[in-house]
Amino acid sequence: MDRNDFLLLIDGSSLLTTQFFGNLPREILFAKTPEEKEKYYHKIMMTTGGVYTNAVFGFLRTLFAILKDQRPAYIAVAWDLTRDTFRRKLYPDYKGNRSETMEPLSQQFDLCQKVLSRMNIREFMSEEFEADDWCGSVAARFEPEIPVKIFTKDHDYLQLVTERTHLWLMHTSQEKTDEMYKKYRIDHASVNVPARAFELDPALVEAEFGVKPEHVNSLKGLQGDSSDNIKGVPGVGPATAVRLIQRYGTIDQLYRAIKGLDKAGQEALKKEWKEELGITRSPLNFLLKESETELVGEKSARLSELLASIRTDIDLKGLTLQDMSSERISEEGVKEVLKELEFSSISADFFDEKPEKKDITEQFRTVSDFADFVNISETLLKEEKLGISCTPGKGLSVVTERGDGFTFEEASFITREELASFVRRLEANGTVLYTADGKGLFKYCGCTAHDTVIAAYLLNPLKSDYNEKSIESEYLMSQFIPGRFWRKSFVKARCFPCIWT
Amino acid sequence: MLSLYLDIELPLLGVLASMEERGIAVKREELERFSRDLKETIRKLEQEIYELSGETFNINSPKQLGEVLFDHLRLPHGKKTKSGYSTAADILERLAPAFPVVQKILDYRTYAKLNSTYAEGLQQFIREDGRIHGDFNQTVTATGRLSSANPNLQNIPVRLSLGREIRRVFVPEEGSVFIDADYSQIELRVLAHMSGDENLIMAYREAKDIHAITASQVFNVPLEEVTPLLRRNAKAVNFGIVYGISAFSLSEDLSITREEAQQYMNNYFATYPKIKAFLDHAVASAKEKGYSVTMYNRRRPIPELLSVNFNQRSFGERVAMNAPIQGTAADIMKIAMIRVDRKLKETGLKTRIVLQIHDELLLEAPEEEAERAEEILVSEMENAAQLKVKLEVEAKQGKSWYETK
Repeated sequence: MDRNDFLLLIDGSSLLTTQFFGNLPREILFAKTPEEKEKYYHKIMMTTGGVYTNAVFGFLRTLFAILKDQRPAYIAVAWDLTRDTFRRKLYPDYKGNRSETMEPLSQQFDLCQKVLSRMNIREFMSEEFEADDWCGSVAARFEPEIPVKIFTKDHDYLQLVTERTHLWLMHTSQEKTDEMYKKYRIDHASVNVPARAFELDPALVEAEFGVKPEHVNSLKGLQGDSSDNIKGVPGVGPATAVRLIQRYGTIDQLYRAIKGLDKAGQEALKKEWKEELGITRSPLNFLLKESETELVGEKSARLSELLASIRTDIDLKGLTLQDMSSERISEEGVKEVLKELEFSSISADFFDEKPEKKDITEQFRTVSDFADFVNISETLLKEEKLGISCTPGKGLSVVTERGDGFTFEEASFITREELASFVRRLEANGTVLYTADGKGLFKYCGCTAHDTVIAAYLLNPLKSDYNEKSIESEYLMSQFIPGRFWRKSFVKARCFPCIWT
Repeated sequence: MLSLYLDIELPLLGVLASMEERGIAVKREELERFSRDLKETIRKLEQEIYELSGETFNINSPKQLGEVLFDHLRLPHGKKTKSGYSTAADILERLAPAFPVVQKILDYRTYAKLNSTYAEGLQQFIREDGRIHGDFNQTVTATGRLSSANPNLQNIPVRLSLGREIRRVFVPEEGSVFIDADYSQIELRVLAHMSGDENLIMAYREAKDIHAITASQVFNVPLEEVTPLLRRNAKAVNFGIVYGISAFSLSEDLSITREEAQQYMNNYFATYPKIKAFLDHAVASAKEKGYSVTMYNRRRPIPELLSVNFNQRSFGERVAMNAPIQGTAADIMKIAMIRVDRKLKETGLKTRIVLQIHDELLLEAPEEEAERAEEILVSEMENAAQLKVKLEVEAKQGKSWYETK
């Protein structure tokens, strides 16, 4: 497979957490207390053995899409292992505002790491450093050799952007990403970037966030970061902070300019800031505040800047680019993992060029001529078993045991009543009917067919949905309803409603 | 499980389809009037709250509310959340007796919710035929109960007096009446049957009031001397046991100490020994198989039993105790629905099922059919299952859903 020459670094913790919250049953999202949330844990996607998998599912789906579409030649994933890194040693309250991670999520970190290891994808993690420190260090080490892309949702990474290291910044919604493309007049179709991500180079970082990447940590020195519980300098607003950093660059330069001034000097500075930087309410007093007991002013600014700085100097102990090659990804490992985790809907077709699977609906013949309908329906009456799916107002789809499919459109003489009476004749004739929406079929024509969704539900009432893909799992059919054919037919019959939409 | 599918779930499809197509009639103008009245009450409460607190603010914003109560008025606060103080119901409830403004805020929330979820919320579902056609889904819950959506007609208020008023807007069509039938303590009776406990079975055979009997046996008091308080406590224990309640939760419910609650539970299990055996067996079996089963072989997987987290495991144990009971009750109700529907059609009646609310079934019957329909309803519900204890059904007729309760 021909790959693109770049190194992709993924912030695993960011991606896994995002996918966890993006794939939760509504009840948990709306529940207010941890106890209430726990009541609905059983609705979270999990294997039949009870292992939570919703986050890993989204993670792998995203990862495989990137491997298939962006095709990085080299890839690695970095993890946060603990909040007790060197940063806590500097400032005990670092990330102190974070609540305990929900158990279904915390279990999946371990699971995901094992999964990646089975697939032979290189990972970085340690108790001393955070994922961003690893990404920063690996990027710094290899960017002379090869371009680097870092995939994350975390804005802290902005400081790592250089001409050679770009950020693929993930958004929660496609709209936000589209807005960015529009704003900077970049044609989405001309760049090869993952969905819901926007590629940032140093110019774009400065345009979007106001400061150069190398000054982002200084910006945090003033603004702080509420999600990490970094204080910044209380009293300095975010917009003011941007303007000050644009002017001075680093915390050090800022304080060189403001310390040791007499009253007149301070007034002059305030005037300059007002006229040249547009800062009407001077933060000077806040910046110069000192205290024995509280963390304020310069002390806070320097500490915050330090906490916000990503390390790029971790000793990588002889790591080579080859260690992270995508060629090393184990096809066997991937297949095994997908099977064990029961992810039948994720395709791992980034290994070789496989022909696009023909759209299943193309195998069905659409019938809108009444004479055809009459002929075909006569032959169908001879069938012992049929898969069926109805869409009121649009039509009826039918598939035989052999796999022949027909879609009868409600048009001119093929009325709904004709179709309904056809189904009733089938039932009266002894043909066994199978469908995925028994109630809908009953309303359509008064017939009762075998309902695969109900069957799937009885076998496992905990799932949030029982669409045709999940029904494909083997244990379902073999134990339950006789006749293997119905699995294939439902899958096909069920696809019908897609035509109408 | 094949029988569960063929004899219960599949036939139920037709019954649910009919219910959905039929819908239930709603008096639109009355609903609108209800909403207007609620809004007026809400407006008045708003004014009173502003007056008592001395300022105008958005009561619906937990942030602003927190600031007003705990910063400006300096009331003692409870938990703190990421964005301020917690204004959750339990915290406010504790403050309400001492601070009138807090009670008004609780009332405001109740009325606001009644209005948005029910009064206004229901209006959008009234179709041209003047009826609401909710969905009844049989593949949503973990236990086997039905679920109702768009709108959810299974959680229309019944307890609070104002909430109950909403039921007046649900009416039978011209010339018809509603017949409402309820299973009396079906879960407790199912428990008596499944556990085989002779004392509980005898208690049901002897008298009508199971809670008084339980009170008499558990607290060692002659039946005639059981006070309303004792009866209430016994009732709490009866229902709690079915849910696998812990002594701690029971103590909270009854406002007694944990030791007292534990004592009650011990007495309970001593009075009905086979219940404890049944519950313990249910948990052990679920741990081994990974799922619990109802009398009709419905399975409920319980992955929490394998959790390393103690709270999760405890939750799993409670599920293992409750799911067989709640699931069996749900199965019985489904059987009842199929039987009622079939018998009504066989008898040539036009009466049909309109709503199911877990233990309750609501029928819409032309007046001339009402008596016969009620007989069929009660008979088919009571005979839906042959248990060691008789299933009791209470039925009532009325010209609105409010009247039938």
